[in-house]
Amino acid sequence: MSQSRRNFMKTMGVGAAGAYAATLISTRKQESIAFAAETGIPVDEVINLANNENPMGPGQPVLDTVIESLGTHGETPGRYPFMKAGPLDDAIAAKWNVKKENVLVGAGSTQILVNATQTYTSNSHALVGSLPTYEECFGYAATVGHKTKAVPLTSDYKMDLDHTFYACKGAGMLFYCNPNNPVASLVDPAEGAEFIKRVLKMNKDLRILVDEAYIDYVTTPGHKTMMKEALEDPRIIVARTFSKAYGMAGLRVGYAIAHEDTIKELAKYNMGNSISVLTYAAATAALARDAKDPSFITNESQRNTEARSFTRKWFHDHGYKDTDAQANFMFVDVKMPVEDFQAACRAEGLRVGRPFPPLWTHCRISIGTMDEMQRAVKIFDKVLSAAKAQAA
Amino acid sequence: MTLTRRAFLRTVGPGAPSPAMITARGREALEGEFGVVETALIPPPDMDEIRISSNENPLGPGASAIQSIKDNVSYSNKYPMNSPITDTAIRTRLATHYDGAKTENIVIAPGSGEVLRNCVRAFCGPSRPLVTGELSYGSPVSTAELFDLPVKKVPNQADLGLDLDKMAGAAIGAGLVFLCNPNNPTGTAHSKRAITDFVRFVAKESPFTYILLDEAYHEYVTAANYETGADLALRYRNVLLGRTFSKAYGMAGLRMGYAVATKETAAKIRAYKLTFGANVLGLASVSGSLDDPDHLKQEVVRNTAVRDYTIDFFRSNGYWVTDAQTNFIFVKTGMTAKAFRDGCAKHKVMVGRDFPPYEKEYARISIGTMDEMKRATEVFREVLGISATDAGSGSN
Repeated sequence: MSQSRRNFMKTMGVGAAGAYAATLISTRKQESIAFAAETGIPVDEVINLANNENPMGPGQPVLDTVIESLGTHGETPGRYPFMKAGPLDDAIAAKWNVKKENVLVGAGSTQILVNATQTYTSNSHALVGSLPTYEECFGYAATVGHKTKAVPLTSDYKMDLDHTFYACKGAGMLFYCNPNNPVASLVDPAEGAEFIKRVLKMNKDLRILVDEAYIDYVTTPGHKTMMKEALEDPRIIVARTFSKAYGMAGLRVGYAIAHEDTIKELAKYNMGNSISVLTYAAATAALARDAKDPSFITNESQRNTEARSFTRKWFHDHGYKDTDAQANFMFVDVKMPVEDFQAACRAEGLRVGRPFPPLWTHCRISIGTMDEMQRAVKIFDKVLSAAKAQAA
Repeated sequence: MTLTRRAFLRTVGPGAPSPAMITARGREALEGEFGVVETALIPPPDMDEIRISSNENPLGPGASAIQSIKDNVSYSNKYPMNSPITDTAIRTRLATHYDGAKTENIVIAPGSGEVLRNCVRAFCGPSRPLVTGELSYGSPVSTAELFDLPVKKVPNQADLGLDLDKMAGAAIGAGLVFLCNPNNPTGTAHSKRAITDFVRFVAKESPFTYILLDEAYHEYVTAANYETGADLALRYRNVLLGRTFSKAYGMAGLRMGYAVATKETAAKIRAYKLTFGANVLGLASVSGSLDDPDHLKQEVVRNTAVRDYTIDFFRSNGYWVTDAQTNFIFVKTGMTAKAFRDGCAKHKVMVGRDFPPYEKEYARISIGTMDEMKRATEVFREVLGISATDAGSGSN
């Protein structure tokens, strides 16, 4: 465990981290500002390993469908998206063999996360999650003044199920991001299943929002989606996104799978349609392709696994410790302040993840193409060697 | 009347319901936004439905915008901040349209709907009501109801314009005044002078009250005394301007809008923004549109001509129409909105929903293309029972 994290854990017990959310949010806003300052750099010349994007995109047939959906004279975008929503709901329902009443589409899974936080937490019923984890729910809870409890990860950077269990007493919702962003770790499948049963038995009013944004990249045997549990128990919600393996981060679409009653509660806060007609076309086309040929996602997962293994091996070979990455990013202790590492990489035209406090020497590195990762490790070599030389 | 339509009217009797059509339109999605959706007939394959119910631009966003979408489609995998056209770049560009504005004064949203929602959330409270016209765009009221926030509705004037004097009185102690100018669904617009006086009064008498000036239909206004209130939004801490690309810019399907406000006020609504709300192709389309200001001008000229034609049809037949400055009109048909809507729907002309408390005698009709409105006015003639002598010269 790094020194800074030790200090952090000493000063902040479970539950004391509510105020900490504010720090996370401001860090996040700074990221956008930093990117904005770089608008002068052509996007194509920079290797971006900072935002867990899929470098391959959604595939040419999907992009072709988007263009076709503009209409003969480009008239389609003039119309509101009302008529496009039904077909996507149906396609998602068909893919998972559920009813369309079990589906809620949002402008990115972001919207699902926000709706769930709004619906199931309050100033007396806390949002519980790991520290660190994906900040959307914590950021929203802070904005609306809902109570939060952040539970530091275990010393091997996994979700701390025991402490999370206690934090869930009297809580409104547990944000269960698995694999967890930014640390890329996965809860042991058997332990996770047992934990969910146990915690829901302890707190009968608790909701669990299972964020499966990165599930297509998991390689741990035995890991399964929580959709089956979600359909049976209205207290469990599964969030999915088209931003990762489906390669559509810029199109903003995701969805929830849950019990019909839960979907109705979440839908109340969807508040107007923020999804583009072109996005509906892309997502619907991608699922139609899946239905005929499921190899797109398995191929993408395989591609990512190879590039991820290559990058992780490079770090292992050079004496750096990382987590057992189960996503399209990895999390490695670069043994130097991550802000310095980030800045040095940036100077070489390589973007890596921002700091995720309180883990000040760990870097989140998204997995690009194999070619990008081969170029990236050369930059890592240069940056880390220089840091070592300076320290010596 | 076209041959196709004659044949259609002969073969399909009135009132035949069509579940297939309701499904095709995405009934629940429509209901969510617009209330109950009426049944309609099965459309014959050779005849298009005329959709003049949602104040959409029938032509879409124009060639430059479409080209920009095509040029950027391969960046669909990038988050908006990493795409070639970032939301920051668009904010910077939009800021150049307003004297004294900077990037920090612009908040991008997936449709101006988010601006409306977030203003209600940021500025109203249990003891700080939303003030709005009785007959105005309903979205802020829906948001207030969802979050259990109080609402004060001020009846409209006799000409159905917003009653600014009474709204100013109601504004004292309010959280937010929603000022839709031009107003939906009446199409009426207030002068720059009237808006400025309103803002000054509220700023002086109730300094903690915010005013959201919704100018969704700004581009379509032709009244000489109208001007944007953007300068007020940049000068007064308590004023925000809402704009959309859904109307004159023809991008209702792409979900792009924005707010203009002082830096501090912009930050207050930005806190509620959906992360990465605006999609990369929407941003690309905005960029392309801003490259081609002539297209926007042509769209306004086109709409004005068709609006004049449609208003003239009603007025020449003795019907009262508001002074509509928008891409829709509000007409006293003398029959219920439902009866008029159902009557038109039988002829595949879809007009606006109920606007209570005016649903007993009024209808909102969006402006389609000239061709569509020529067909639509024939249907109106039939539904309203106007004698079908010569077009334009009939009387009620």
